[in-house]
Amino acid sequence: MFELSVACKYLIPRWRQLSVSIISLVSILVISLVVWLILVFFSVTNGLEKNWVDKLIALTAPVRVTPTEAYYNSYYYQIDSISEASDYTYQSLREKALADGSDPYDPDYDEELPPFWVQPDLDENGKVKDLVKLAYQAALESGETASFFDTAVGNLQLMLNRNGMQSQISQTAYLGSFDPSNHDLKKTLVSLSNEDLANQPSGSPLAIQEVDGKMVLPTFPGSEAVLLPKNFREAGVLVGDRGIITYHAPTTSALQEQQIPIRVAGFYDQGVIPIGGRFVWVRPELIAMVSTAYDMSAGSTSTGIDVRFDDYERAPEVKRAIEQKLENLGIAAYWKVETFRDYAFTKDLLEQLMSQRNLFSIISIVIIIVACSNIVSMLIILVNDKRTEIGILRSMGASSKSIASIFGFCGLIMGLLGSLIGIGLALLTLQNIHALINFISYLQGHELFNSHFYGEVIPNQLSGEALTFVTVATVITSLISGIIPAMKASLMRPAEILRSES
Amino acid sequence: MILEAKDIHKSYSGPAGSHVLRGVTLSLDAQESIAIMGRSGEGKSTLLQILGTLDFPDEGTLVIGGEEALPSRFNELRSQSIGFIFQSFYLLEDFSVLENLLMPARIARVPCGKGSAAYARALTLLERVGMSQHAHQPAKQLSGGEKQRVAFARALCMDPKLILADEPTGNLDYTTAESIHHLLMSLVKEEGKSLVIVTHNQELANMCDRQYTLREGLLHLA
Repeated sequence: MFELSVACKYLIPRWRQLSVSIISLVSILVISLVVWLILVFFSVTNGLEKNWVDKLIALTAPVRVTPTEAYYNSYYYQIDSISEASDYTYQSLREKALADGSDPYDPDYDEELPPFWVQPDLDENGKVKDLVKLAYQAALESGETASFFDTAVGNLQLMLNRNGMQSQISQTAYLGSFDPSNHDLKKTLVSLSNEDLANQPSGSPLAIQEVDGKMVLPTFPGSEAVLLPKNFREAGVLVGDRGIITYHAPTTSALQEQQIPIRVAGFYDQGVIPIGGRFVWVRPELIAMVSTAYDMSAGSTSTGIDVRFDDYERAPEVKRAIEQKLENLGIAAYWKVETFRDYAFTKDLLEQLMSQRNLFSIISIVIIIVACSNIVSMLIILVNDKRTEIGILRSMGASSKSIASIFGFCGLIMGLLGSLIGIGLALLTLQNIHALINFISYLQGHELFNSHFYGEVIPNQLSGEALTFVTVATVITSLISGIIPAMKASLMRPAEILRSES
Repeated sequence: MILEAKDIHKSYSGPAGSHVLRGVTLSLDAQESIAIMGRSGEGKSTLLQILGTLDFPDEGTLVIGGEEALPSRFNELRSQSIGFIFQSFYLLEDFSVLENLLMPARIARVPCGKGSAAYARALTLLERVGMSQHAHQPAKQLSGGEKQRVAFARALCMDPKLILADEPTGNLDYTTAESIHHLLMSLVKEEGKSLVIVTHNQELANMCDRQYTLREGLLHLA
């Protein structure tokens, strides 16, 4: 392709084209710097966001199915409160899933249904639809695993005994049901320190362990194992420390404080979830105990089905599949299906991250356009410099399209060359990102990235998404930059050029 | 008939607008050579550019190789059927001598790598103009006479039927010009080309089969 080879010749720096050569080099340098900056920034921020999302998903699930108001108002849920088989108490999802049938009410034994009692939702066989089992099945079929989750609120008190000095930490805690099948949780566990190991009696491990590929909370006689967020460790708590979880349960006369003894079995990194610092993992049985003190429909506890699968980018697709199945089963009104981007406690944060990324994308495009605008100036000078050669090429049969292509290629080559240099620089920077961060931290006198917020390790993987974005944006912009000079060149009439030059 | 121009008119607009060609008619047979002479500003170069499809006539028709030269065929005609030789040589200075010779072939998308017919022809032509030892030298390093030799070879490289030369020795000293005249005429004869030369040089004009003078926009047989 002669257009490409001519374009390459034109871009070789020459003394007699000093101005063109200097502008070309500056243009390529500016594009390289812009590409470098965008790649490094996006790679680090995308990596941070991925870390945050990974932690969020490890602590929750990519998709959650939760009961709606319609569920709590349904015959299926309400009937437990007047059925002897359900001990006259509302049942959790977990209990509903384990129940034999979908309708515990026995008209021969239980009291008569009050007038205007909510009507049951019946299937084609005339039986009450088992809303939990059907929803669980739909979730399981759409994801890879499905498990129930429960949360409740209690008060956590930890008693610390250090070298004879006693202190206490007390705060409200959200109790979450520990799911041994949640492999992602393992990624968030904080490794034991020497102090943790020293705080454990020899021969009886107190920390959470992995057994047959499942995370297992240790069992302690007379107390429950709990997994705390890592900020407790930073406050001086060690594995093996003791404490209690308190909650208030109604008795015949008044609310009475109940206490459950606990021992710390480990710490996890909660990431940037707003309530993460208060979220304590415990056995589901402990939550069931605390939950009996509350009406689940009142909002003081929450429950639902966690749907897990490896590729969390599939979340919207899985959500749609579950919704479709629930719709087909005629129980969609009883359930709300959410992806991790919809969770009330993370939605704002993820939206903000997305907004920041979009904003920086726009800024990046503007910077690339500014950088590529140099190409326009350079190519216009080049077209004027090569005026005679354009005439010569036309006299040899080159079409105006070929002439335009030569200068279009010049713009494209400069954009690509700038991108390649920028990508190389970005790779080099990302490989040495920690040294760079340490250096900048040293210069400014404090940490560049706070480890509480950004984690211990700053991501240094080149983001494929950023690479695609910056390459496509640079190529398109440099091509567009070449259009004006290329048009100018293609519109030159050979007779006029050669007449003026002779 | 290689070239046939009928009733060619050309005017230039502008404050000092002029009607430079007022009905030029010209025909050229295969292997025939003609010289067009005339004073400066009479429109000789304009006529040559129109004959070479580098410019459009205001009126008149142009037939090259038996087919009317329509604007849609201009690129093809310049690439395949016409070879140009200019007073200022017009070599591509950033390219080597051989690359200059091969450029018309590359524009025409003809294979021109080593071993190709175009490559072999380029080397042969360089040898014939006595420039084979300069094949890989940058064109900008050549002297005026050498550049014009290369320009001759380039004009012949695609084996066109028609060669158009505009003051081919106008920028050369007398001795060099004389040798170039002989080289041009011998090349044209040996290659069997038709030639139109615009020149002020009577000696060169005498070497052609016919001579015309362009005066007041019309061609007059000398």
